Formats: sequence, structure tokens, C-alpha cells
Amino acid sequence: MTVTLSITLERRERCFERLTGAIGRRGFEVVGANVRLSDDGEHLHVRFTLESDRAVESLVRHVSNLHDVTQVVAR
Amino acid sequence: MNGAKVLIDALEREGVDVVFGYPGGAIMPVYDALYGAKVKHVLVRHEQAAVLAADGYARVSGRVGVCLATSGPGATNLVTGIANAHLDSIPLVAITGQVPTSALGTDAFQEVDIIGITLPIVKHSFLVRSAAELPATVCEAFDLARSGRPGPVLIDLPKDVASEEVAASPARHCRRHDLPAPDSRKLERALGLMKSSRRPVIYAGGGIVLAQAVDVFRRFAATTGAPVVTTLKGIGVLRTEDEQNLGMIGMHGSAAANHAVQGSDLLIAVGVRFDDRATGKLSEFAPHAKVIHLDIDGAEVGKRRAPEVGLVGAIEPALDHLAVRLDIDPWQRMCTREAWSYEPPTDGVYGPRLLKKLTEAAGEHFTVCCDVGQHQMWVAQHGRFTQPEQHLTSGGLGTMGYGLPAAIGAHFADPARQVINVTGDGSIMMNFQELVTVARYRLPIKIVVMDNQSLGLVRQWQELFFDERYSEVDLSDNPDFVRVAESLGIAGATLERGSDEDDAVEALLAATEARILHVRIDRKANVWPLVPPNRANDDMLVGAHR
Repeated sequence: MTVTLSITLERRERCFERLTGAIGRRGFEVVGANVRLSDDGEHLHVRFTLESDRAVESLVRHVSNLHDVTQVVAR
Repeated sequence: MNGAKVLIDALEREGVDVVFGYPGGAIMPVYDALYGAKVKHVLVRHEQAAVLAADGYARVSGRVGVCLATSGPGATNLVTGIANAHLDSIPLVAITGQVPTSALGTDAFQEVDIIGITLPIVKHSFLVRSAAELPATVCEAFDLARSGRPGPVLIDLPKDVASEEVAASPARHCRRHDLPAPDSRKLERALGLMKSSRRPVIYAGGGIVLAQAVDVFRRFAATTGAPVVTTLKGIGVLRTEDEQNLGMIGMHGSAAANHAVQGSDLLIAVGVRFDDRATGKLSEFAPHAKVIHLDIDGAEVGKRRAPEVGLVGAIEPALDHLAVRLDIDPWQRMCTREAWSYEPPTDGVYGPRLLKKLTEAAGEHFTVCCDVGQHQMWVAQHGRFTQPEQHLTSGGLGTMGYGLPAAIGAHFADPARQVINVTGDGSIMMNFQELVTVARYRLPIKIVVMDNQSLGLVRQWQELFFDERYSEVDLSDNPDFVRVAESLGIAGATLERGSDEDDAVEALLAATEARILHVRIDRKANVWPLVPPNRANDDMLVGAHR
């Protein structure tokens, strides 16, 4: 199953690595990614394309727990 | 003032009274700032013990535990303890020295990427880039460690930042994290399920302890009248001897608890995560039950078992709202605690009986710090506990070597408490060097080594599931534990006969200084009941002693 996850996170030390690590550990493979810095330079907007046989709702909750993450939307 | 002094000031502002650690090159400025500071430093003999002691301190005190280590091997030696705190949701701040910022990424001496190594096992981590950031970083780290679902936070401090001079300790700025309120409509749906249930069971876990909601939970349980089962970390949320408490569920759970859950029509899960050791074969766990799952962490709700009602938020107000009397008299009569025979087949020491006596004789103000293995399960099954902080155990990670460092931490959290490390001949060797710490600080910790000359739980599995092919579980060449203790000025004794159990327990607990009790037990003693792997929890092997 392929899903798209759009995430906004604060631009902090190792924030992107923290995010991708959490996604991989929860059983989702990143097959596409688009990263954009916000105009003020303080946030990253990331859109992942993910593949997994697991329910994305659980991943959304895990990712939402990350301290750097401010918004998560799954499609 | 330099960054290291700013750090110590920030720790003091957080109310830190003790830190556990071991010095080294990159953390030297911090140790220099500790010299003469109000914060007490406890010198352990291995960094793993520092983090596990901080864990034990946190569990007994309810405060954030703090440990210090240098860069490189000092930092990597913390990893197991950080993972332990992560899986058991223990509030911890680990501070590691790091090579100077200019040397980061150059494979410098004692450089490891401890931030990267620990990313999967921390709640959050900080690499501090300037001394001016330190007050806010420390404040935020402590707030994160203890708020919501607690957990470990790492602060990695490069040596040049620790040495950097700043004008004064700058003001701290950090965010605060409030607990969300439970959804009132879902609470009403949960109430509806409870009122229509005829066979409810309360499935209680360590989340209740972490939320400091034990009193509210006890009122909730008493009001509903529903039978209570606990996880390993939930032991003590209800008094062990309370008639409503059916004991621990899962692989080594009580038959009463496992049968109640399997027969229930409603599982009220509070502060639990449906861990595989608790559920057995998940698809056959509580097969007839609807589930209400209350937890502070939304990521746990529905992770392994989809609930009919998921309640995410603070536990206390939710339990207050759900505390209603249930009409379940026939079910209550069916769910009775099981009797256990404490008569062993030989005149030797019987582990379950000894450990039951130990906790019964310890009074009220005590803590048993378990290691991992058969003794750990016997304590969980047979120990008598009236409060959760009386029972410290490595639940999620199953860290052999946890017990003795955790006991050291428990002592510093509450020096008046009787602290007992119950360990095995396998586990004690994992952090045996901390006997030196016990001697150095003259800690009145009691150590009970259950010695079956083997790695007992692994041996048991090899007996039951690997055709008695005993592969590398013989530990008969361990040192003489009593003589090692005596070499450090710690008195010891050996217990071999069942008839001497009472006297040995009495002498151990009466001592005002550290003592070690070396207990020889049957090499073939097993832990019963046991749910074989990938079986339902009511498919138990019950062994010979029931």
C-alpha cells in the first residue's frame, strides 16, 4: 500500500534524520521525498511517499509524538 | 562563568540533588564544575551503572534521574540504560561529553555520534552549540523527560561549549507541555460499555504509576468492583493481597489472571501497551472482549489491539469519570485468586517461597530491585507489594544487570528505605563491579543472589522447547559471591536448606549495613505457569507445584 505523508517540523539539529528513522522503524519504506524550507527558514515541509502493509494511522500517531513535528497529514 | 558551570546551575534550578556518573576527557569541564557544587555526584564503576542507577532513582523518587558520561565509550556504555528507560518510559536526562565542535565529524579521539546512535531510544536529544543555550536546553530536556509519556532525553555537550565563557548564567526559556483532557463523548461511550458488560476485567499497567494516579486508580477499581489484572510494571498499583487483584497476566502470569482476561467481555486497559509478553498470541488475546484503552500516549492506542473506545489523555480525570458501580456479582464470584502450594519437592530452598517471605518480612518501606530471569518472575508472581515503588524491574528491555545499579539509585532517592536487590547468578555478573560502589558509599543495600549455577530462564526454555539441548547456559564457574563481597568489607552468608530460610531472611533484613545472601537453589527449578510462545494465554504449562 502506498501513502503520502505531509509533515511540518521545526528546523532543529538532526530533525530530518529523527523523522525518517521513526518512519523506517515503524515499518514504512520511504520511496519518495520532497523537502522544502519555509520562507522564514525555521520549518521544514516534507512530503513522503511511503510503502507498507501497516496502517498509516498508527504511524501518524508515532510521528506526531516527535518533539520537532508540528503537523502531520496522511493521504 | 563557563558552560559547565552554567550546566550545573541549570541542574540545581531543576532541583537535581544527585547525579550518577563516571568522568573522562570530554566531560572534564563538567566534573571541574561539580567540584564543590551542591549537586551530589555518585561515582559508579561503569557508565551503564550510572544510567541504571539514575533509572532506579527516578522510579523511587518520581523525579527525573540524571547521569553523566564522557564521549565515545562513556557515551556508548549508556546506550543499554537509555534503551531501558525508553521502553519503560522512565524520566531520565543523560548528559554526555563530546569532542569540541570543530572536531565533530572528523573521527576524533573518543568521538562517536551518540545523538545518531540513540535516536531510536530517546524521547528527544540536544547537541548544545553554545553555552548560552544551556539553561533553556536543560529546562526543555527536563520538561520533555517528565511530561506526557515520560522518557529519556540526551544532552550532548561538546568540550569547547562546556569551557566557553559567558557573562552570567542566562535566563532560561522553555516550553511547557500540558496533558490533554480526555474526550468527553468517548468517555460516555466507555461508560456505556462498562454498564452493559457482565464480565469486565481491568488490565492495569505501569502508565498508572508514571501518571502518579495510583490513588485514583484504586478508587476506580474499588468502585467498579471489576477484577484487576496487572502487567509486570503494573505490579503494586493494587495491593498484591487485595481480593480484587488476580495478579500478573501473560507468559508467566497467574492462571487466575489469564483465565479472567480470556473469559472477559470487556477489557478496561489503563496505562498498558498490549506488550507481547502480556498478550501471548495477540489474535487469541481476550477473544470475546471489547476494549476500552486509556493511555496518555495516543500512539499506543490501537497499536497492537484496536479498541472499541480509545481514550487518549490524562488518566486521573478519566478514571474519576468512569468510576461507577458495576452489576457483576456472578462474575466477581467466578474470578477468584488462585492458591499456590509453597511446599517444595526437596528440603532445599524453594525460590518462590523464599522471595514471598522476603517481601512479607520487609515491612512497608522497602524496594525490591530485580534483575532479569527466573528470580524476576518469582518476585513478580509471589512477592507481596502494597505500592508500585516497592517493585523495580526492567520490564520492556529485560536488562540483565539492572538490579544492583537500580538499587543504588533507589537508595539515593530515599535513604531511609530498605533496598533489596534480588538477582540471579547470571544477572549479578553483568554489573558486579558496582559492589565497589556499595562499599565506597557504605550503602545498606541487601543483595540476594538466587544461584542455580545456570542461566535459568534460558535453560528452562532449552528444556521445554529445544529438546533439552543445554547450549551455553552453565554458569557453575562463577566466583564465590560471598568471598568477593567480603573482600570489599561486605558481610555475606550462604543459604542452602529450606529450613534455614526464615533465619536467613531475618538476619538479612535486620542488618544495618550492606549484606549479600548467596542462595543455592535447585538447578532444575522452573518458573510456572508458562505460556509457550505463540500460544493463547489460557494455554498454560503449569508445572509441578500447583
